[in-house]
Amino acid sequence: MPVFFIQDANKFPDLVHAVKPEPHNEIPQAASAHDTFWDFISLMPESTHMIMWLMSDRAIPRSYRMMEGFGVHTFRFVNAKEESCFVKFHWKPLLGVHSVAWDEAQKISGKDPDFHRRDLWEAIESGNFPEWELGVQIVPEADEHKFDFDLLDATKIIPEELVPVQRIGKLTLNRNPDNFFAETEQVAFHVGHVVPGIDFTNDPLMQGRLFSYTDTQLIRLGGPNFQEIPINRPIVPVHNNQRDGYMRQTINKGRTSYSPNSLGGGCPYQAKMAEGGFSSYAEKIDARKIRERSRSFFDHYTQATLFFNSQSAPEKQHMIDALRFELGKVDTVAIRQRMIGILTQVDKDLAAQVAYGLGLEVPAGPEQPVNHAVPADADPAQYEPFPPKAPVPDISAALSMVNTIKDSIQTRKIGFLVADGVDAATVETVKSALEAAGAVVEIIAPHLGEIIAADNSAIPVQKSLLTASSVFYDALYVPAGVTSSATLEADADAVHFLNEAYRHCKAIAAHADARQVLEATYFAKKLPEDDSEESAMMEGIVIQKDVKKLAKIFIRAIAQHRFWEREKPRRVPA
Amino acid sequence: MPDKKKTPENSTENKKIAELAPNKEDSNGQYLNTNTGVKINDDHNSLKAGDRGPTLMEDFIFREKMTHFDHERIPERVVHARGSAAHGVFKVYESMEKYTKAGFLTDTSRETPVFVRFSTVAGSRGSTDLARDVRGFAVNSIQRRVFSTL
Repeated sequence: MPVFFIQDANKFPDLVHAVKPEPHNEIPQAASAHDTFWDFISLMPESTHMIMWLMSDRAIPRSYRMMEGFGVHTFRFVNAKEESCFVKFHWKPLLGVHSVAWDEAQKISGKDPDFHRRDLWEAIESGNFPEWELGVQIVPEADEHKFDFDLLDATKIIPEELVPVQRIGKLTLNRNPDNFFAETEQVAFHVGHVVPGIDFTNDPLMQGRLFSYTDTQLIRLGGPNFQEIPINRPIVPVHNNQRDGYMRQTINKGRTSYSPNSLGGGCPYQAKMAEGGFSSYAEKIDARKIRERSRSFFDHYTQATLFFNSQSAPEKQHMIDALRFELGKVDTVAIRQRMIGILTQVDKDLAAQVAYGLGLEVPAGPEQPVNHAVPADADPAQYEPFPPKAPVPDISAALSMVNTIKDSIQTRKIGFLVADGVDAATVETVKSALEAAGAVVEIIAPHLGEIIAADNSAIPVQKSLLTASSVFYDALYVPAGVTSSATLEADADAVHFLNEAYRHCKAIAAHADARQVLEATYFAKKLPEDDSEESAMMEGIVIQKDVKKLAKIFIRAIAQHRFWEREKPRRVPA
Repeated sequence: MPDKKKTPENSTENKKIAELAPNKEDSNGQYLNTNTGVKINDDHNSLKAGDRGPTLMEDFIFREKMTHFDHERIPERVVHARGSAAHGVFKVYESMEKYTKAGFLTDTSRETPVFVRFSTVAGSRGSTDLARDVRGFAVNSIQRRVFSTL
């Protein structure tokens, strides 16, 4: 996500203490849906924009490979003439940005807690290397104050309509680690790991991070030599006067570990800028030493509104549902009420819909004062957020996942539901077509081993109805076969598989001769009335006699990722 | 739920609870301090060179808060990382002096304070409670581990 909850790193321990399991009983695990988190958020309006992102489907990605990455802070570029500009970094996934449904996310958490880890591992092992383009938004130094928000404020984006993202390179992940602990666990990241040409800004969140990452690593990795751990050490040799400490690996030769020295020939010596020596950008500072928040940081609502406005109807509904879920899990009604007050500043309809789900009245506005993060001697009025205003632009297309890449089924997982007596040709033709388009097909049957098809050929089974779950697949297909269809139609697990996939808005295909299996589901009444491509694409249900035509339409449907429109009937009117 | 604390026979006080009391801290109605006892005037903003300036290294309040936060985790148990516990008491039905001289098994008037921790074995500290796994059932009496069963 491109923004954060807080503007000053000093609030980071408070934020994390609020979101983590509550300290008296360590409940709940890995969830923001509890009182202390929303207590803090409802008193800290600067988090409103981030809350919109967190409550959106962006917070439950389909895959690490299908999510965006961001530098969050504004950084600096510095060129060889020591001229600087501001820069925001983006990673844009070439598979598009996709998410799962919330009900699905909760079920995956139980059925395969390693879902994302496994997905990344398997994609790389199978040669489907995840790729992202590096994007940059460049702002000339002279334009620093041209925006309605402060570039140093980590709760703000630069809308892509104001500064376009230039795609300047490609990241490819092509090799899994050999050892989880040695590499994944011991790796140490740091905002301050920069090279000449990249420098920092005064973003007060980034400033604190520059301190705290090293500080954390000192204890997590057991001392000051963590950069000697193989995964952390640079490819170039390191020469400096840092010595000793727990688990020191380097055997430094010679008498000198200080600078300047003559006994060591003055080595190691400093590098001139022309030789690659790092030199900090000479930003002009003429100021008082002060503990304060700049007034330019207090527009807390405009970009929250921009984000909400930019979502499609199903995405908005998911945010409403998420807020009803999260606040519904908060026991203290006063906190729920306070959050509804904040939401009125983002969007009146959002506030009304969430309030309806919680059985609360919508207040005219937020509780006063809105901001409780005020220094003891400060004037609280100086810490109040600016009143809501219409964002410019009014929407940003880049903020909705509806506008993402939907032209590929590369690496999508498709489950085939089969049983003994299946028509092998209707399995093979569709399987070949999907695999040719880059998808991964798994045969799911009532038992493992092999399925004996109607023509007596044997089809190997990858998963049983017991070991698989619909939530592991992007789409499902039921091939033809009289006996196979009769078995599946009568199998509660098979019918549940289909029902759940429908509920999660996934593409579902069936051979026309297996229609009876779909008729055993709760969505029997939603089956397309004719076999036109248009009918199939309305609800994402493909029923065809001709397997080649079936495969072609099914591929198009899978590429759509989800048919969120299916959720419409369960909506509560505004 | 009836308030069991009010009846003497159901008292939840015991010697261990009393022994823990001096370490308990309650912030109710108190000022926010640094660890050296200095009262904090602004817990929301770090010290900067100007309101849009960089954070200053001299900000001892920020450094103390952040350093403590950065260091607040300890390594989890290699096994039995996931657990939940409660205080309570143990009382023997009849003296077992024929077999043992252990005080808590011979003195029928004695209530031995205990702290009991249930756990899974294989999962990490944040893992699910309902993993298919052996469960730990560990009982600590005051100062002494009495027994532990799986």
